[in-house]
Amino acid sequence: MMVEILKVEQLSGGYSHNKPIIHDLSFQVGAGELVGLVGLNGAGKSTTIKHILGLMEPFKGTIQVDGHAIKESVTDYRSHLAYIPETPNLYEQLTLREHLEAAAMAYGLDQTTYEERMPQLLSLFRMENRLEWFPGHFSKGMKQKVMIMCAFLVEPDLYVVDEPFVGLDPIGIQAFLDLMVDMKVKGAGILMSTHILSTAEQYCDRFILLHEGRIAMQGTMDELRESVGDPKVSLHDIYVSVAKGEEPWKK
Amino acid sequence: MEKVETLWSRRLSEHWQMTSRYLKLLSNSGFMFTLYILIIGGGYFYQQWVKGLPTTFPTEWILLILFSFFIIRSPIRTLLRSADLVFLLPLEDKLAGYFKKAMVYSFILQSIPLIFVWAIALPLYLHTVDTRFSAYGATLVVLIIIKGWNILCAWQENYLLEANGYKWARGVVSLLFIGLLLFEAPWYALALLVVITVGLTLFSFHPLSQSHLLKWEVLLEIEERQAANFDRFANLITDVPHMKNRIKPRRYLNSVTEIFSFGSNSVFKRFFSKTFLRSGEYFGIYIRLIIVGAIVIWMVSGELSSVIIAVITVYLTAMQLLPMWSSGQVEEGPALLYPIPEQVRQKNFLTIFMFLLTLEALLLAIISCLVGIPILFAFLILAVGIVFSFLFTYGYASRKLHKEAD
Repeated sequence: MMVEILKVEQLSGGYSHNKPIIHDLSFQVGAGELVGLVGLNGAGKSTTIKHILGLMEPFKGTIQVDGHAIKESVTDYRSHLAYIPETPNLYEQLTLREHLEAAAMAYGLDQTTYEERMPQLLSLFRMENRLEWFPGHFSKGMKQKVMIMCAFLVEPDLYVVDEPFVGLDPIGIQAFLDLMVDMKVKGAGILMSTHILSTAEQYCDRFILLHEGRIAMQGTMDELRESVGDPKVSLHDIYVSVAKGEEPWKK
Repeated sequence: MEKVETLWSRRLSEHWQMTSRYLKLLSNSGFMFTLYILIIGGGYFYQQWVKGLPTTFPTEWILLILFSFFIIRSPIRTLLRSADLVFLLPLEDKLAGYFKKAMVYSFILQSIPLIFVWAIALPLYLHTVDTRFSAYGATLVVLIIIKGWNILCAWQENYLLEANGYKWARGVVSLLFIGLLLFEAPWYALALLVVITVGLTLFSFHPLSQSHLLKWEVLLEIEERQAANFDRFANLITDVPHMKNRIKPRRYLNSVTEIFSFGSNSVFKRFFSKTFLRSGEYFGIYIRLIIVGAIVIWMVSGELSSVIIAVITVYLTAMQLLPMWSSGQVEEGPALLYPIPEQVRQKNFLTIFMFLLTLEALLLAIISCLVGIPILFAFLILAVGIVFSFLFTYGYASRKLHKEAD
């Protein structure tokens, strides 16, 4: 039995009770597993992520990270996860070094570990020379690298990643993918929302296809193929078919 | 689709709608009342003061500095928005009229304070420089012309990313012009300067727009800086939600924030101390208020009154620093998800807050000592200051943070 890092059960939620955006979502992310969260704009990916982060309260259902629900202790719950947002938000008044330092301190890393991991991450993302810079001088891609470095610096049990590839340079993308593989080996779980399906197909262990707030299909690539009855079909084709509302698994 | 020709007038009316809303708030606040009192009272004392001045008083030099400041500083308000870099960029050719209107608008707007300074200095000038009103009247006409020239040249500078050389040239020429005017130099000196200016305009400034591309990002930056200046001013009275803070790195103060140990209990101590030192104007306001408080204590030179002034200074500082809690934009960045309880965040903020107020009380006590307040009262300043800081921090401020958190 695989250890479940993230366990979502019958989650319904949204901004208004009359109009829930996500309905009855149930899925898990196991230790050492990278799960792709795939869906059109407006399918409910971001809402799902906000619920997992505890920025929104579910109408119904439960979410557990490492067996902790957010209601027990917000601090405890959040100490097990790191989030890499699609739009990087940094503090204008803090340098790159200070962002990394704050993350390390906030998540309870000791100074030796921090000083060990930081230079490695910096060189991976080619940011060694930017350590004393303020984010005002960073491009979007660089800001994203800062968010990614903060997350991997902490090495939490669960990573929640929202569309990481847009804006990153090829070195950044490769470094990010390599890090995800490393963390998987170390036993972390990763939930990643993305539109870059070819990369997702190559790197994700399982997929959750969201359509209009519901899970249309989920499973490994083989399982998805099996359910649509086509052993060669790509994730892209399945996704397009789901997005068109064709319910391919009924074919 | 909107016509380019009407764009300026629409932008201008939108801008004034926004601005007048803040001006209305401003005029309803105690600020305007204070200003009236200052003008009426100040005017009376000013008249008295001028009458007693010897004719050797260096009015020319003072006016030279004042006029130069208002003339050479010529940022052009284009009312551009960041989206214009995408949507208006293809229309650059058709925007000549728009930018011309922007220049005229900036010219008129910036001439107003110039005329004010001129008018305020009128009695001073007539008493100490030249008794003929016509001389001073002619000065105004020339000043306005130089202002116009500065605006024209400042526009040309927008075609360069690095226009410092041109800015210096413009500044020096303007300074010379105003100087010659005030010191009533012979006509040929002025004529020579006119020739130089015309040459500079035709051969240095004018070609810029011919041989370079308009730097839209420079325009936008100038516009945003001016908008921010107004916002900061309005923010003294009311809350300006869209205010963007500029960052001053102040790297020489970095080590101060590193005194807090490495660990989750220090995250927000470091965060808020860095916010205080670098973000917005907190540090500037803090220093300025201490200086003002010190000057008032020195001028009044009373014993008990110095204690009262010190406490008022600490109180004003506290009110100015309190918004730091929310305007560090904690909730918009990664710290939103930090696994650190709200109580710890608040406690850390209050620690920094209390420290700053106590330090201020200490500084005011030391300064009082230096300006001759008896040492006993200096100690009293320190003691009362600390008690007040404590009550404000853990009574008022702490309750306010709790309320905001709910």
